[in-house]
Amino acid sequence: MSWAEILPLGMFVSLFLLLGLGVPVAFSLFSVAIGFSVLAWGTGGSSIVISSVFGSINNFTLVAIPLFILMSVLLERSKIVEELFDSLYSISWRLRGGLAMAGIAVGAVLGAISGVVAAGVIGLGLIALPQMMKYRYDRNLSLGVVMAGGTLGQLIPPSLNMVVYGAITGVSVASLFAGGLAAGVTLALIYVAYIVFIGLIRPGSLPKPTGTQARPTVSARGLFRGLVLPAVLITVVLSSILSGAATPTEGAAIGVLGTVLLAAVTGSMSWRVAKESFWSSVKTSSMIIWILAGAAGFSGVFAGVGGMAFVTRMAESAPGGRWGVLIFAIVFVFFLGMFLETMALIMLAAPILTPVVLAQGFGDLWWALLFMVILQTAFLTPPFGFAIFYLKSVAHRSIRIEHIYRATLPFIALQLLFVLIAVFVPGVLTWLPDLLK
Amino acid sequence: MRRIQSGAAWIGAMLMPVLTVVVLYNIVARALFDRAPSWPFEVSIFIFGIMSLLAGGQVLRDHEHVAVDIVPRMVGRVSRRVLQLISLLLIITVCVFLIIDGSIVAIEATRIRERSIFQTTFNPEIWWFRWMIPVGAALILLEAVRQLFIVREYDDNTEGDDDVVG
Repeated sequence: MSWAEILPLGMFVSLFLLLGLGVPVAFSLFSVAIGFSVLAWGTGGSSIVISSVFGSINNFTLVAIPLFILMSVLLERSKIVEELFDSLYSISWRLRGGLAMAGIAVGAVLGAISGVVAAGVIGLGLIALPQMMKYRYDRNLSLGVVMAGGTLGQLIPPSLNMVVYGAITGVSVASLFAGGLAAGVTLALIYVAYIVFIGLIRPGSLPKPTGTQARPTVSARGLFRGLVLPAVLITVVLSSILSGAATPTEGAAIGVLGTVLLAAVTGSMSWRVAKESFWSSVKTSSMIIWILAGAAGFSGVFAGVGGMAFVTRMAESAPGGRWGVLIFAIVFVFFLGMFLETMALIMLAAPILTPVVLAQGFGDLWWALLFMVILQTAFLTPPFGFAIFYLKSVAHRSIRIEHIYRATLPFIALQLLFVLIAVFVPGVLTWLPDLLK
Repeated sequence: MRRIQSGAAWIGAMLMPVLTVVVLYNIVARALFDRAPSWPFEVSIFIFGIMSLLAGGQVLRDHEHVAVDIVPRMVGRVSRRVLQLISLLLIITVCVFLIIDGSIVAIEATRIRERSIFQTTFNPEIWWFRWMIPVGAALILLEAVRQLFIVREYDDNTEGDDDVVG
């Protein structure tokens, strides 16, 4: 094995080792990047890491990140998510599995209003899961709904992952948002179909609520606050971006303004809420930017030590021609997705894999969207999918990690089925962006 | 120490509404005057960079840098403390590199009074922005060193933490 093969491989092995030891993701990435740059080029070599860090903070598209996070935090503090769940359940409660369906729908809408995956899984874990357990829904199905519904936010725009992907590959973020909307809604419908199917073959796992207490009571005002106002907000933000009238960053700022107005109208805005929201969102943004900077440093050093050429050689030596390369790329993203934080993974894998896949004649937008779906699947895949830990952190103590592992399996199968469909029918992912062009 | 970290993070937090207003101003100016000024584009990047880098120390203080804590949770108290020390030593090493190399780049940028490479009429001097990397790394370094010497407190603080904090 040559030096040009040992170094790139060594970088990934060291990264997994540090992640496994519990070193924060950002500093695992930085440690490996700096360590290998010094190994390859001596002490001056780590200047490539500084260039990468500066590139991460000197990027207008990424400015959307703190703004979307602020919008998400403001929405969370103004209790709109809870009202949204109650409103949707007041519509679906008559159906068998109505709570689970409301959970999926809230997950999709949470994705639309926040773009932060942790918010989706944690939000559903806190709001929908206790309700489903209370009405004696099957535990595995309930946990699966929270995981799958909660991660839809990665696909449904505005998605921070897509902002990052667009920023580093040059693919239009508006087109990614349009494709993500189509994919996310299709997946949500597949989940709902699965819930209906389970309700038919195992009605006991989704008991219908009985008695008057089970009937949710939501006032017209509650419906307006919980359903109509967020719907207006989402429509304004998305249409401004999808129509090309605003950049994703500007769309995010419009979203913040809209959320502040919405919270003011509903009486949930105060200086204290605003201050807490600024504080919490600057910390989350900082955590993400340090990860992105570390991943940028890692990618820079990886390319510098010949990693790109190494991955290209590996992909091209896969049997099956262009399909072999595609399968290699899918497995690569899926595997990394089980260990790495999503944005770090995009920063790391997109520049490495995208040229390899596009060289085989696959469309850049289609590949970008497929990348997003695989990422979402990996994110809920055992043993290390991050969504598992987000859910574990908010679920009742009696729910063990093995329960969550088991619960995700049917939903992972549904996701993989969708990936398969998207590979053979590319239009499933690209019809909406094509339509909007 | 607490005041330094929270002060830096508060500067970042208070820049959040400023960032929103700057980006919104650009939209309004474009809509009203049909010609957007060039300064909000670069000013928003500056605000974004400053707030993101300055809050890193406070994020470490609050144990909110996302990590996969499976192995640390499986091992005993002593082994966990060893893993924490390894983690902190790595963070310190990374920060020392970022401070030294970041300062070398920033000194050179200051010497030539580097300007923005974005093709805008604003074309501001950005040498000072280069200093944000060593400053942000120094804040994290200070916090990591503090935690290194107050291991007991760090250990107790993480006791009740979730598997993944983020």
